[in-house]
Amino acid sequence: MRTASPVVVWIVLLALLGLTLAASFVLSGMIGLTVALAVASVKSGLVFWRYMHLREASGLLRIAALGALFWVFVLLAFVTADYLTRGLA
Amino acid sequence: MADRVREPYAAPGQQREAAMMGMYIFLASETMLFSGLFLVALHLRLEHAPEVVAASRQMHYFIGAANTALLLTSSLLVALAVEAAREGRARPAVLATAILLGLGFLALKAVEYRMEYAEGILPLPGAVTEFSSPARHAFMNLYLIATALHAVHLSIGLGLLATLAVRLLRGTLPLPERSIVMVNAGLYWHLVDVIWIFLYPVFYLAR
Repeated sequence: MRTASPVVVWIVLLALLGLTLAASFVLSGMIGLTVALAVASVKSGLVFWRYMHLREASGLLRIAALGALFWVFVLLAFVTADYLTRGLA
Repeated sequence: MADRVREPYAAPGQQREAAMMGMYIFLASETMLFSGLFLVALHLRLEHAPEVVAASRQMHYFIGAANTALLLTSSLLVALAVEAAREGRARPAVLATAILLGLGFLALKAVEYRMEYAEGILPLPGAVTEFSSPARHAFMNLYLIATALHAVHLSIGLGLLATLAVRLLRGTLPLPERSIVMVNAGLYWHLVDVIWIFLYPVFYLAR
């Protein structure tokens, strides 16, 4: 089960760090924020998948490990719903 | 190969899965703890974008990048040590190197705090600070709280890793039977890394 060695994942993680740093010089505003958070999400996904064993975990374990993501989404969605709908009235 | 099966488990795999699930659920609570801080960061960014960008531009983003690289590398070493443990090999030197990188992170963070303190932008109690707007002050307050809370977690992780490195050296951690202990300590260490992966762009790279 050595589909991607930890070293390869590490190289990709460092490349993504370089990418997010480079992007911060070119992008700004909401696009910059979106790209920065997207890159951070990909990096975290790699860490969870390869270093935190989700690759080999059962479905139940994956739900336990990622359940907080759902709650974070609910938290952010309810707060940003306010900001995003202010102009509509 | 597998650990001795204890009550109430029927099989080694089930026992191992239960141990990991306990850790994942604990880490979920840590995620929620930090997500409250990220929510405040998002609120500041949406409501006070120019002030947040100005405050973020003052940050020493190369120190932050170097610290990200240190944590990513320490995570790699922990992952390698855990993988070796599961195959029955003790790798105390690999774990010790990961600890050194973690200490390096804390040292760099201390240097950075010191620089910010000298620049008058670190809102420690009793510090002389000057902010051009309340939003910038709030941003730096949040930065201090979030990074300090992260540093506390990192220190706990270092304690865990150090304990395991000593046990590996003394041979008091039977491998691969008790490798689940390494797995769970590794999970904690990686989550501390993941939190920093988000802290870095949110505080240092807002443009």
